Amino acid sequence: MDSYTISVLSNIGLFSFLAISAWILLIAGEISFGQQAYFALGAYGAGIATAVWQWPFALGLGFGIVLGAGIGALVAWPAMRLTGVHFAIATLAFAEFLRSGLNIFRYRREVGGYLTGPDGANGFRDIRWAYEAGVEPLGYLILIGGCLLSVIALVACLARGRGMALLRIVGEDPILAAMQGISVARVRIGAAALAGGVAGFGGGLYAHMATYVEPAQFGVMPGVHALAYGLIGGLGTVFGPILGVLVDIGALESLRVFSGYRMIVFGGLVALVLIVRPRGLLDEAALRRGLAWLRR
Amino acid sequence: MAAALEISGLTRRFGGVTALAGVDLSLLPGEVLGLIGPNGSGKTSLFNVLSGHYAPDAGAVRLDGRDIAGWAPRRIARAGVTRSFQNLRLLKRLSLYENLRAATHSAASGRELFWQSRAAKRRERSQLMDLLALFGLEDKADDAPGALTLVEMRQLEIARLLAARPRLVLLDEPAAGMTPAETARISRIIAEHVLPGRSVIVIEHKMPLITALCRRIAVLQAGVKIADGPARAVLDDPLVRQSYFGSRPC
Repeated sequence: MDSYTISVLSNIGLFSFLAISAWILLIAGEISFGQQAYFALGAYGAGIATAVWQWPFALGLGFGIVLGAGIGALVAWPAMRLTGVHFAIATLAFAEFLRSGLNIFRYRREVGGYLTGPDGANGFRDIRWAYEAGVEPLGYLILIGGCLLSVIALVACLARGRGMALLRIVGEDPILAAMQGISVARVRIGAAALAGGVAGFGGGLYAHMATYVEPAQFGVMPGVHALAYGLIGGLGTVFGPILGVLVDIGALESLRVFSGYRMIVFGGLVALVLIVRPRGLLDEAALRRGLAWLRR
Repeated sequence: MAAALEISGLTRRFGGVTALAGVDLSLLPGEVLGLIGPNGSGKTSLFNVLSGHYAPDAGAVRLDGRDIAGWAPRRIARAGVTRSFQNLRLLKRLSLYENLRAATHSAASGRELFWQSRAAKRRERSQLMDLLALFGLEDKADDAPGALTLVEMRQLEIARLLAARPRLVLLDEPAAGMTPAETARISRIIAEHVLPGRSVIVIEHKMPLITALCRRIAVLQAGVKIADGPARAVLDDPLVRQSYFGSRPC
């Protein structure tokens, strides 16, 4: 595989984490423009853990996940009182607050004779685990794929148990959910923690692939795209957001025909899909039909 | 016999409007009470307070001896109170099966969030499918409720209500929007499947349904209970007739 293909596929994999994160909240009935914040938390958290504290890679990734999930739950606790547009604005506000915070966040320590760690707006260099461990880009792509599979497996478990059904019920009618004895607050905080953890997972992987992260990378645009991926791909299954990523990064960004027109085509596509299929290409009706077919 | 439900002095105000003005009402275990009254008399407000959707401003609601007034809806539901809604609250994006299953989640253990064993899934499926079959809806288990007729939607709501295994059932206009024939059908279904073994309060404007199901009727007017007693006596009460139909023009 040539290095261009590897880099496109790696990007597809990493963006899938962000897209699944936003998709989980969409299922729970909440629109978040701010999942890039948890991606950033994962990137910085995992990066600091391996580069500054010299933790093993897996532990560092785990720290990024816990940070994303923990802060996600913490933010959800007050924010879940908001719905619709108000919730969306709150998520956006938090993400921008975090990005501004990272611009002044300095945490540089001497490791092996060099100063390393986040340096405010100058970014965070030398997250060198992959380089030092001798992991080639292809190997790292396989690692990303494996991690993504583990997230898909987790969502599959939730779908097999009651978790996914709870998210969907609360997402569609929280008042009814409460009258069925369901704790809406707990489901919403759980969804936010799950979404934050998934984004943090992707962020940690991203930091170690790029070796360099800076606050400017975690602006509003990746968050808006992440949300759009689920809306295009569909809210029925976890493959919806991944399909959205494939369409955007796999085709629009990578094919030369679309060069320079990516955002125009993408915007048009979002509008078109939302008109024709408001819940995305692989929506709940598609899921219902699929399940009925499997049961036959 | 101790009352299953004992409401005393229940008051709820919305700004300057008093929707419920010190309502007293009690219900014996297994008793069926018809709740009638003109539009805006506080019937649905009473249900909303009983199910926890609104907190009362004053008064007590004792369910099997425990005061549940002001509890969160989730807690009241877990205590065994289930209601239906005047304008049907079904989950339109989920299958009929998942609509029923919605009533069973709160009783499940946290471990089942991530995993249900094959045996547990099969047991749950057979129970809920039996419930759907009771209403002849088993063939549509995987469809969305949007394709159902009004009567079928009401049946689905009743099935969901039963899936929660409630002790106290609050039915809010179960025959709203139905033809006389459909009303008779839903009335039979309620008599057959909902009433046995449960305390039930039914709000309805359609008297055939009320008289078919309830031996006792209470009447609300402007948030005040103006009559409560055996069905016939209450319906013949001149005060009730006047509040419902207005006085005869002279």
